[in-house]
Formats: sequence, structure tokens, C-alpha cells
Amino acid sequence: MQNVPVFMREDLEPRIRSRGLRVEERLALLATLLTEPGEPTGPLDRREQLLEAVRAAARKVREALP
Amino acid sequence: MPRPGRCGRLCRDGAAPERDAGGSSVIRPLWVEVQEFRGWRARRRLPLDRRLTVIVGENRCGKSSTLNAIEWCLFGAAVEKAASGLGERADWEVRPRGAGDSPTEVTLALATPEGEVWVRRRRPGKAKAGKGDELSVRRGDGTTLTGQAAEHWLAGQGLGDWETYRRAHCFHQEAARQRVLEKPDRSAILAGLLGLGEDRNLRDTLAGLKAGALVREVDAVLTELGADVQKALSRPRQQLVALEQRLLTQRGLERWQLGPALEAEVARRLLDRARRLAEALGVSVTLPDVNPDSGASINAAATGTATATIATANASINAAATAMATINAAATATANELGAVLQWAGAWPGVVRASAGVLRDLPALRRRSGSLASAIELAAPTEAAWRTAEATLTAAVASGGDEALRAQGHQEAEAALAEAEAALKAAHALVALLRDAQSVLSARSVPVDRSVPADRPEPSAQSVLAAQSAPERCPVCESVVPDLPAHIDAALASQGSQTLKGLTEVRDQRRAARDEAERALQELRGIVRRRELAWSAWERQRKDLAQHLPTPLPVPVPTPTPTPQPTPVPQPLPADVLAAANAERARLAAEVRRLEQVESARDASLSDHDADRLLLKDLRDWALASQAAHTPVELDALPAWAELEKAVDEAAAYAADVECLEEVAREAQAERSAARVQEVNRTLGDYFAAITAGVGVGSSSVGPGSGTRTGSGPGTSGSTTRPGTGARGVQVHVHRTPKGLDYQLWDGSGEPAVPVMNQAAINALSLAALFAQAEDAAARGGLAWVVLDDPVQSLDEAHQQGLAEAVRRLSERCHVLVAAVPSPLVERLRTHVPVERRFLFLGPWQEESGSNVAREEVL
Amino acid sequence: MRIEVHRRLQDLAERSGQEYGKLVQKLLAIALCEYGATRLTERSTQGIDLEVELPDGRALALEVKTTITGEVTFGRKDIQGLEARAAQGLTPYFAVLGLRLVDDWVLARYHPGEVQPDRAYSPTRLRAYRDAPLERLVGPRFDDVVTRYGQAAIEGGQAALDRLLHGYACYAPA
Repeated sequence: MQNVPVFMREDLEPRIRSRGLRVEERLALLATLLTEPGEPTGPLDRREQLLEAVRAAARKVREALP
Repeated sequence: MPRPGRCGRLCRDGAAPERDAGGSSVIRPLWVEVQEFRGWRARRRLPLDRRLTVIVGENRCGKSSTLNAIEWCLFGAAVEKAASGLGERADWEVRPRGAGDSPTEVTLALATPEGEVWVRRRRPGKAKAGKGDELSVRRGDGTTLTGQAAEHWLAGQGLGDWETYRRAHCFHQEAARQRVLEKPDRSAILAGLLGLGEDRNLRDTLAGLKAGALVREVDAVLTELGADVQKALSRPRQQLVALEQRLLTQRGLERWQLGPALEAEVARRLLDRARRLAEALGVSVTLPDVNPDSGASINAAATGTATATIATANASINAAATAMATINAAATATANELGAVLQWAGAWPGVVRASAGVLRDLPALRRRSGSLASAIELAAPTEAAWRTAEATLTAAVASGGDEALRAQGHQEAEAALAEAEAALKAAHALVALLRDAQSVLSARSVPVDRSVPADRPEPSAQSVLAAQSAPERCPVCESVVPDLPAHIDAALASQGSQTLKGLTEVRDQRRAARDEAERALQELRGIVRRRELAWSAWERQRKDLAQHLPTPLPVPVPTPTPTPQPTPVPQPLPADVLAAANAERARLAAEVRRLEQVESARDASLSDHDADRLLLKDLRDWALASQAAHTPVELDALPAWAELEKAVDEAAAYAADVECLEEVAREAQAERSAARVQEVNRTLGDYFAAITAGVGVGSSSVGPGSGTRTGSGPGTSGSTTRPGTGARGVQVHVHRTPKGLDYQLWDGSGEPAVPVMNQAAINALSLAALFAQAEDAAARGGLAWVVLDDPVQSLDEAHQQGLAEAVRRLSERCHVLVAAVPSPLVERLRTHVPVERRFLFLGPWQEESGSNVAREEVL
Repeated sequence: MRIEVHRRLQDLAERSGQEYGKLVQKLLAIALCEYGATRLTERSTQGIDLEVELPDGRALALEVKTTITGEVTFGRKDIQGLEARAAQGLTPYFAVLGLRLVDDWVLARYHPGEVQPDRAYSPTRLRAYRDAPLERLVGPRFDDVVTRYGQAAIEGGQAALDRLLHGYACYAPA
């Protein structure tokens, strides 16, 4: 996993802001690329958390069916 | 404390790179110290502090070992064997033969912005590759980092990754072609050349998040859920249809017949039947209440309200809802009642059987009846046997008298026999006496002629006496008996055979009479004994039988007489017991039969009850299934549904964020590469031109009309940066594809350059790319160092001279370490490169001492 | 979506073939009219599929897509059309409907640069831009319209639905 150098952040942030959508979330995602793999807020962990949340919610819907 | 990272020093809260006292932000080598590493045995230190350091020596003197030692110090086992990515290292050994237990140790001193730093790697004598290596970093402030901390520090200085170092800072002959031919190496190198290494890394990281795959995985979960939901929602309808089918085939009930009315009817039937059964059994039970009109009332309400409801539905949904609520309430109340009935019905058979009522005594009655029958069965033959014995005795007494009489007869017979025997005995005695007299007389007169046969008639007494002198004196008693011999003869004649025979016959007759009397007596005694035994047996049975009777009859026990009376005494009691027992048995049997009829009726009632119970259950199940089938399930009313929507939205948003970052990074990379490609191409072209020195390949890179253009070409999409027309130098060609930016090397005619190059040109191109990248990296800060291992292969003298010129240019910006055999390159570097330089001439390798520096030249 | 609506849409898809998307678009238009739109323009050919003014004054431009396979693609002209309408003050949306039981209308705001032309997107992906309140307004009406007019759509096709549309006061020809 590579880090994002500062000069890249300075370049990317304005581009993200210019789109005007989910700015804070996307800046936060960019920031997570500074972390080492395995740290709790790592982007790969987040991906797995989201997928698992969908699966868990689908299980609950199934259980709630008549 | 800044976080370590590949470009950690650039990540320190956005601060500019640190610079040393001289204003340099680069990392430069100072010296390397090697012990027991490949060609190097004893500890040796080689200075590397000049801008240009050249290690010169023939083959196998330790040149490459020196460069390898530096690599191993920085990257450890990653540079060994197959892990290195260099085929020639496949059977590498780090430790020289004969090193024994001595550790392998390499220390590399670097000049960094934080001061002089020593990087040391040590492998104990017996440790295997990668295991037991000790890495330490002694920093400028005197602190020492070890293990992972040391690795982090190296990574922070851009020295964490062998692959990047190999591509960006080293020239290995074997890897020269890889650099320009193989796409991953080429793209990485050219991207690095353009200063886009981090862009590539960022995009690789973002691609690794696989946003598209995340959405597909979420869709797969939703699709599977949709299928399950469909099955679940269809199930009530399917169950309803199955139930209706079953009710039709098994019970002949049509759909229109099903409903609350039928349920109520069945419930009432159950309860009525139960009531009757309870009465018959004489038990008191509590039955559930059922509104007798429940079913009909619901039907009526539903029918009556339905039309009005529908008619008013559009105008007054509330009214319809209220009406439906009323129906539902009534239905619910009825459903509750019927539910209670169903529950009661399940328990009813158990309650009935447990209560028993009039059937309570049936088991005992059965036992009594059976027991009595068994007792009668045992007693009757015994009684019959006794009767037979009694009759036999009576008959015997009647025919032959009782025992006393028979005994008397026996006695008389015995006496008569004795008399006869006495008479016979006397007669025999007299005859014997007479014979004696006769014999005496004979003896006196006539010798007995013993030869005379015994059967010869005895001589008469007369003849005998006649022969004696005093023939009238009895020789026995001396009595004078006149005519004694004649008397004797006469006596013999009368006592003779006739008298004896007669007496004997009398005796025999009397004996027979006696035997007969004895036999008769014994016979009667036997009959009496048998009668006694039969009586005893009957007595026991009788007592036992009496116990089975409800009121035991008074039974005076008759004493059995040892001798029967002349007339038999009647025994009314035994016959009464048996008769009473039979009467009792008959009574019990009748009662048992009656109760068994009650029991059968009960079982039949319970069987009917069970059938109705199952019918009611089916009707209840049908009602519930009907309700379920007609009750729509709204997914979005489930709390879990809202949670699922939220989770899916978050996953979708995340995927959108990642794709946005990818797009943004791609844009940024394209812009930067477009901005830099011209400059880089100039640098690349200059180096290539310098190395090739105009031999067969065009010179400087950029010609008129060149620059960055956008447009699309065959097989491409998006923008393309083309080299200028007319230029014969090699250019980086940036090609935008849907997946990202692709980099190739084109010649001046706008065609891929590499396929038409010979080895020398490829080497030259590889070196030019390396030099251009190193120069660019040094300008941006970081490791300003290039290592060339035997770069002269395939280069003729002209190319070597060109290479020296390129090294000269590069060494103005970076430290360069070259390992080469004595060659025109080395000579050129000595004479035509006006930078501070050092030449280390290695001597021949020695078995015991290994490599050595024979001579050093500092210029 | 409701199981009854799902069943009718499946029926419609099976029996209307290529027309399915257009029929759904018209049913959506009817639903918007039922909701109380003050003005609605529906186009089956060139141009933006639906332009609608809502009772609250919002003006929307919708590019309608349906999918049976699970993916939709927006052409350059679709996106350019939305951008043009955005420039005129309408709020641009993608309106996408899948055909799984768990699918419902995804009314996704168009944001420049977010959705690329000629690239396949699943409705799930577009949920990143969904306008859930608007979906809650439109969804139940659409279900009702499908229940009432689904059979008419099967039997009479676009013409039948057009006749219905023309019956609404808000309907404005293109």
C-alpha cells in the first residue's frame, strides 16, 4: 500500500471539492490512504465492513420474512 | 513523530523535504563495509563518498559482490535467489564457502538530511536466508532503530522496496531488456521517469479497492435475497392451495364450504359429543364455551358488509377500514374461541381416559372375573374327582359291605383257614404217628426192605402186627389195643389219602376264601383312601374358591371318616360353593360385558372426536393460511429492510467515492504527465543521444512540431501524447486507455522504438531511461544514486564513450557507482569526466582473504 | 417492490418485448400525474424522457431506464440532454428501475462527472446519488398505476397509455 505524497493531496483535493459531491467523505477516503495496511480505518477494511453490513442486513430481512 | 511511509518525509504534515546544511535534500552513500559476503571475506571498508565511484576489476574479483552487498544491506533476503527477479541469482549464496560460524555483515553509511546514518545488516553464522537477519539503523542523533522500526525508517527514505530500487536506481545487464520491453517494468519506469510513480501507486491502490466488484457483490446479495423473498411470499399461497386440495381429496370439502361456519359447526359437534360421553361415563368435566352463532355471525357480517364496504371504499377508506376492523375483531374473537376448543380437543381423550367414571372398576372386574374363572377351572375337576371317589366308595360299600364287615369276614376266613390247617396238620400228625407205629411194628418184625420202591404199598399193620409177637400192644403208647394192627390199618385207611385230600381241599378253599376276603378288604381300604385324598384336594380348592365370592359362605368343615358309613352322607356345601362361584362368575361376566360396551362406545366416541379434531385443525390451518395468503407483506415495512437499504446505500456511496478518486487521480496523472513529458523526453533523448553518440540512431529528442497533442489514434481512446514529427530520438509516448495511462517508447517516426533495436541500442535506451529518471528523482529529492553493474556489455567503444559522457552528466546531479572490467568506459571516466571521482581497482580474488582493493585512485 | 406490482411488471416485460422500457416510462409519467404534477412532458423518442413540474414547484428532467439484466447504460446524448436541461434550471435525474423483487425506482441526481457515458451501471451503483424522499413520493403512486393500468399496457401498448396520459390536465405535448 502506498502513501499519497503531499503534493498529490494538494493537487487532488481541489479536484474533489470542485465536483461538489460527498466532498468530506471523499477527502476522508483520500486521507485513509495515508494509513498502513491493517489499521482500523484502512480502506480495505472499510470495504469489507460495508459488504458485511449488507450481508448481515440481508440475513435479518430473510429472518423477518413470514 | 511523522508516520512512516514510502514517501514519509513528504507526508510530514505537508512540510517541505528536509535539507542538510548544504541545502541538499538527497541521500548519498558514504562508504560500505563488508564482511563474509560472497567474494568478500575479511572485513573491508570501501569509500563511496565521491560523486563517481568506479570499481574496476577483472571477472570474479568481487565487483558485483560489492554492489550486491549494498543491495543486501538495504533489502535483505528480497535480493537473494528467485525473490530478486534476476535469473542469474537463482542459486546465489550470500555467505562465502568456508565462512564457518563467522557472521555475514554489511554496513552502509549514508549522508542524509538528518546526518550520517549507518544501516547495518547482520546474518549469524548458521542462519538461513531471511531467518535470523538483524537489521539496525544508527541515526544521526545517535539513536539506533532495529527490526521493523529500522525497516520503516528505510521505507520512509524511499528505500523500502527492492523492486522500485532495482528499477529506478540500478542497471543490471540481465534486467536491461526488462526495463524497456516488459510492460510492468516499462510502465513503472517510464511513469517514474515522468515523476508519476506515486500516481501509479495511488491508482493501483484505488484499483485494489475494486469498487466495481463491491457493487457486483452487493448486487449478488440482493439478487439472492430477492429470490428468497419471492419464495417466502409465495409460500402462504402455495400452502393455502395445498391445504384446500387436501381438504377436497381427503374430506370432500369444496372451497366454498370452508369457513368460520363450518369451523363452528365442527366445534359444536365436538362439544356435544363430549357432553354425551361425559354423561355416559358419569364424569364431570368443564367444556369450553363457543358462541353457537359465531361462524354464522362472521359470515353474515362479512357478506353484509362486503358490498357496502366496496361501494364506499373509494369515498371512505376509513369507513371500510372500520368495517373490516369489526369483521376482523369478530373473526379474531371466534378464532380465539375456536383456538380454545382446539386446545381442549387435544387434551380431551387424555382427560376422559384419566377420569374413567363408570369404567373405573372395569379393570378390577376383569381381573376378578378372570381370577374366578381360573379358580373354577381348577376347582371343578377336583370336585368331580371327589364326587367320583365318593360314588365309588358308596358302590363298594353297597356291594361288599363296609370296611368293618369286610374285616370281620376276613377274620372269619382267617379263622376257618386256621382250623382247616389245624385239621390237616392233625391228620398229617396222625398219619405220621400211625406210620411210625407201623414202622415200629415193621422194625420189630420184618426188616424194611429198603430196596422196595417207595410207591410200593406199605404192608398193612395187620400183616405187620401179625408178624410180631404181641401184636395188640401199641408200640407208641404201649396201650393194648385189641386188634391193633387192624386199627392201625383202618386208621391209616381213613386218614389216608382221602382224608388228607379232603382236608387239603378244605384248607385250600378256606385259604382262597381268606385271600378273597383280604382282597376285598384292601380294595375297600384303597377306595376309602382315594376318597380321602379327593376330599383334601377339593377342600383346598373350595376354600380358595370361597375367597372369590363376594360374601364367603359359612362352611363347616366335614370331617372325613376313615371308614365309610353304610349309607353315604350328602355333602351339600361343596356343591354350593362351586355353584355360587359359577353364579358369581356369570354375574361378573355380565357386568364386564356391560362395561365393555360402555368402553367401546367411549372409544368410538373418542375416535369420532379425533376425526373432528383433525378436521377442525385443518379448518383452522386453512383459515390462518388464507389470512396469510391474503395479507400482503410489505418489505419496506420491515425494520430490517430499512437497515438493508442503508447498508446498500453506504456501499454504493463508497464505490462512487472510490471511482471518483480514481477518475480524479487519472486526470491529475494525465495532466502531470502531459506537463512533464516534453521535459522528460528532452532528458531521455539527450541521454540516449549521448550514449549512442549518433551511432545509427537520431540525436536530440525534440524537433519542430512536437509537443503534447490530444486526439485519438487506432486502438486508443482518450487523449494521446505523440512525439514530434521529424525527430529521430526516442520519446515517451503517453497513451490513455479506459484502464489508465500506458507508456511506451517511440522513435522519432512515431512508431514503437524497441522492436527494431539491437542489444546495444536496447542497453543504451535502458540506461538513458534510468539516467533520466534518476536525474528527475534527484531533482525532486530522495535517493540520488545510480548503480551500474557491468554496463559495458554489448557496448562498443563508441557507445562506451557515449556512456561515459552520460555518466558525466548524471554525476552532476546524482552519485554514480559503476562496477566494470577494465575497458574504454573506465578509461574515459578517468580522463573525460571532470567530477570528483574515486577508482577502486580490485585485485584477483584469493581463496582465504577473498576480494581486496589492490589500488585506489582519487581524482 | 410489492409482489403484485412485481408480477405485473414481469408480465409486462414478457409480453411487451422491446416496448417494455417505454411502457414503464409512460406508467411513471402517469404516476407523476397522479401525484399531482402541474406540468409533464413525456417523450418516447428524441430528447429527455420526462420533464415534470411538481406541486412544490420543483422542475425535474428525468432520463428513464429500465433493466431486466441488471445494468443500464447512458449514452452521451442522454447525459448531454440532462446537462442542457440543468442549464435551463431543471434538476436532472436518472430514473432507473430493475426487475428484481427487491428493486424499486432509483431516482438518482445527475452530478457532472459522476456517471460516465456508455458505461454499464447497475441500479445499485446509482443509489449513491438517490433522492430517497422523491422516491417515497413516486413509488407508491407507481405501484398503484401498475396495478390499475398494467393490463391496459399489455393489451393496448403505448397507444393505450398515451390515451390515459392525454387525459391528465398536466400533460403537455413535447
